[in-house]
Amino acid sequence: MRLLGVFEKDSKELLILQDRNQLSLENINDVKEDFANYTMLKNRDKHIGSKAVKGNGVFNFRYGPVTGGVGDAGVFNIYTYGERILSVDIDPGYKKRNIEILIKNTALHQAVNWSENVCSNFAFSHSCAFLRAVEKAGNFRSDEVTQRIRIIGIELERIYNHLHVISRLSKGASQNVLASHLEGLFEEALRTNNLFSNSRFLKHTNGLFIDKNNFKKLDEVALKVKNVEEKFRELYEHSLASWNFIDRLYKTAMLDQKKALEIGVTGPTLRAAGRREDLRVYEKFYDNFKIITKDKGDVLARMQVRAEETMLSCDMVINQIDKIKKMRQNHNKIDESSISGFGMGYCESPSGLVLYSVNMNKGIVQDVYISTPSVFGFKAFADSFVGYILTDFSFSFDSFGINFADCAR
Amino acid sequence: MIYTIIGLYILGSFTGFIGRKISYSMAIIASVFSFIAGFEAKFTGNTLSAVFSFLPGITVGINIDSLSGLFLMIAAISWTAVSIFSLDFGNNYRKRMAVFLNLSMLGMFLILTAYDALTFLSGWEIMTIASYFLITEHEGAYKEAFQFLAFSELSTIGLILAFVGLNASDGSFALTKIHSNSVVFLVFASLAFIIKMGIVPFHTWLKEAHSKAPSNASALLSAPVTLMGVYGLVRVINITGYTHVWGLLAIIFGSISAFWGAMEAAAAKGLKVLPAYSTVENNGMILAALGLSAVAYSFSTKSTLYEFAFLTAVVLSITHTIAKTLLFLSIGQAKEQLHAENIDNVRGIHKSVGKIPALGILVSGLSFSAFPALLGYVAEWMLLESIFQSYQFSSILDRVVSSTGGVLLSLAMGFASFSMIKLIGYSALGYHHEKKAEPMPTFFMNTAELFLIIMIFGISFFASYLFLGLGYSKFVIGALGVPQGWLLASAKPVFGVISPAFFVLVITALSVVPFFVYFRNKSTTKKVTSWNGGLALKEEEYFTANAFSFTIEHILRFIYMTKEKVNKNRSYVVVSDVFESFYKYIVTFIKKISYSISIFVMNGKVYFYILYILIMFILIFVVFGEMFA
Repeated sequence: MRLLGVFEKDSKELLILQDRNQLSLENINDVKEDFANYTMLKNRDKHIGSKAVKGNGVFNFRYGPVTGGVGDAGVFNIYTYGERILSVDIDPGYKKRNIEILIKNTALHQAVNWSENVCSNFAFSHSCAFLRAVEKAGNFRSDEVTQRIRIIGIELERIYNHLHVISRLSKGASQNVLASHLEGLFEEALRTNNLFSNSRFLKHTNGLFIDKNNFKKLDEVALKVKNVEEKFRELYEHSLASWNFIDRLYKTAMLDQKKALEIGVTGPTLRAAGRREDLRVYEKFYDNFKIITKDKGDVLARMQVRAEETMLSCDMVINQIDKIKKMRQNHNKIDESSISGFGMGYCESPSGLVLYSVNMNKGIVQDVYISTPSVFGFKAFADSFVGYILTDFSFSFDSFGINFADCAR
Repeated sequence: MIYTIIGLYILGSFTGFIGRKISYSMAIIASVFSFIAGFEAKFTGNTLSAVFSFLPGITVGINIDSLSGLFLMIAAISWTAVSIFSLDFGNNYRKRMAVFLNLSMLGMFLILTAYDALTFLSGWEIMTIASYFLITEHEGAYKEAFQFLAFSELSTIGLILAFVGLNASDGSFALTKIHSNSVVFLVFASLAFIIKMGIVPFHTWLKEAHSKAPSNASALLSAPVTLMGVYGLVRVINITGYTHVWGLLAIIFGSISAFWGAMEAAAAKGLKVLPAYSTVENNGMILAALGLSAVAYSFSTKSTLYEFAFLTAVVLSITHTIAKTLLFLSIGQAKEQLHAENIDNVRGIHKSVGKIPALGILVSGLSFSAFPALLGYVAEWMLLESIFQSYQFSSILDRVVSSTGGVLLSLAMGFASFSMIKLIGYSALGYHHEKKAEPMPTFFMNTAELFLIIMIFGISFFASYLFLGLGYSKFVIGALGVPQGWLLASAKPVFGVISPAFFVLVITALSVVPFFVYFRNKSTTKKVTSWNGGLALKEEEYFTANAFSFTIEHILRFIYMTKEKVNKNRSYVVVSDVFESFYKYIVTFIKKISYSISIFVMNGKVYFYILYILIMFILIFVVFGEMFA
């Protein structure tokens, strides 16, 4: 059982719990289990991490909110007496946009836009999780072709995100040649997204019904994906032969499985710690899906999981395109204004579980709670980075594939 | 002149009980006279002498020859500055500080001018005891003062044994000529003087005493008091002549000491601990230079290396005495006005305390970092040139020792720059923290600091005249467009050259245009605070001096014995000086032993005491009976 969210409604504190692919909303008084991440989730918009450390010569190396090396606005309060990291306290508040409030009382298509704007590089995962929650609320499922197109979108998103993460951590570990090649592949992946959906970040594509006829260049997409996979495989094999590269990633920012489960972290970070968990395995249209795991829980393991998932995602995109091409799609238009009720939906984003809890009334969003992988990722980073040195910051952080926009919403 | 100087110091001591200002003024006058006496002896060739027969066959007295004159001049610069500084600084302490300051200077004067071993020992003890009391002027500094006393008395024992050896070799106590080749004298005198210089492993007292002593006393202890050790060694060489093995050992101990001192200074966080370790480093360099001179002399007197290496030791001594006095006085003023002990707590001295003490820290620190145009640059260039010239040595052993020593000395110079940049950056120039300095009279403190700053620039600029004055005209040439008399050469025929004066002139000339442009556009120059992530820096967000040092403390953790104490909410780093740990172990061991013996002997039983007295009585009779039989 994992705690994914804590929020108040009608003066009651409610917990969002996950057990494998089962999601539930419980009153805190009805839950007997204690969750180590409860306080962290309650304060997720104020600070994530550990308390300040004091001592002779200890100071707060504040990194951010607007500093080279920190991708988007946010503050890392890094307590240190030199190179050694003693404690990390993260303030994600600078990127707070109150999307959960902005999304209230909006129509479905506007709400989808808002969900995509939580974090552009997880735009498709967010819209998927939101739409799946809406489907639950309306007690219906989208058609098979729509679901399979969503899988292509999710996996394309995974491919470019993973390429970006590996490229960033290669650069952080001074592997500039590898990083440059990977940046090239990353650009290629973004162009493939554009070919697929007319959006480099796969925006404005998702919906309760996705018309297959809008996707005219699926063959070209498959070809490009295959090309990306081949090039990436070659680069990845080369990178594993570099002793200098591996030495920097190996046993750096280690997070063991027990700690990862306590934090509530999901996705590649959890799988790199040895936990065989990926909610895609429960989804109907993922054919022959296999979960990739590593057991060290360090930067190298996280990179390996992402690298192998990239190649797996490429295969899945190609297979799904093959299948969609042979399928016929029923044009059953869904009446959005009839959707009412409560539902929760999730999506296995490139960095972990995105979850939406939605209340709908006649096609209008009444309230929403968003659980993002970056909240847990930041806590995982803050805890795993203690004891290491500042020089390891960039690739340690990048290995979690998280960002402030996703965390602060 | 000699009696006047001694009289003034004694008068200064007595007047200390009446009024501080009169006492310190006496010290200033006596110090200026000391400089004049030294100048006269060194440059006019007049030996000032006041010698008389003390006992049959024992002549005692004062004799200021050329060597005494040179060191008297160097020491007198420091004494003068310390005395002027104390006119303001002394107000914060009891009257008796003035008494001990005068006595300490009197002791040093006697050391430098002693004709014989007995006068030398008298001066040594006066200096030691007065310095002990000066350290105790700081509240709660008894432990540190006692440690200073313990090491000083160890060197006194060494000196007594050395002078016994000197007398046994030719029946004389005279210190003024080459007349003995006594190994006992050479070994024990060298040991006594390197203890006073704070050479590793006898350096631990420096750190303890300096961090606790009042800052004028710290300046005195670090610069002229350790200079007495250098003078002593030079005097020993003057009596026994150069010895090859002594030279090799001096290079080994000197270079290790320089490396160790510089390395510990790089990790130091205490405001006065860092300069204390810098003293260990500087004196190590001086010892190594003397060692190189001795080895070079044994190799060949035709080579100019032995003379150049000796001159290097002299210039290093001048540099160290002046710059270290300045550093301690400037830091001392800040420490006193800010009531702070650590480098981190005095940031922004230039704003909180004043521009002159900040400039003092900057100039002395840069001098120790061998910054061009400053005296330290000349000294360290000379040391490197001396090391480079050791390629001439024909013996493999000499080459190995000199080149290994050279590596350690070069590393020491690197570490010294690191530590001085830390000190300057965090104290003199660091971000100001709106900390208010306690108001106190600063005219004389600033005057003393300015005097030393001018000395550092001036001696560097006129370094060629210093060479000429010291009788080393062969190392002053003219070439490469530099007029005759303004270029320093490290050998004859020429090996390496520099011209500090021309360097200053060229830099000044090149700076004119940028400065002109800057001042012309000053009104239109936009000044902004540095970008710190978009937020103003809070007090707890400033990069600490500890953090600055941690990288090397971690890399060299096997030498520093670095221990990272990481607790839940309180963390810090501990580095240790292995020699300090060794002495602590010895102290603990001796305490245990003495406690056990005291329990055994003083057991409260009367019959045991009577038995003890009887045994001792019989033993004394037996032992003395045998001796006088």
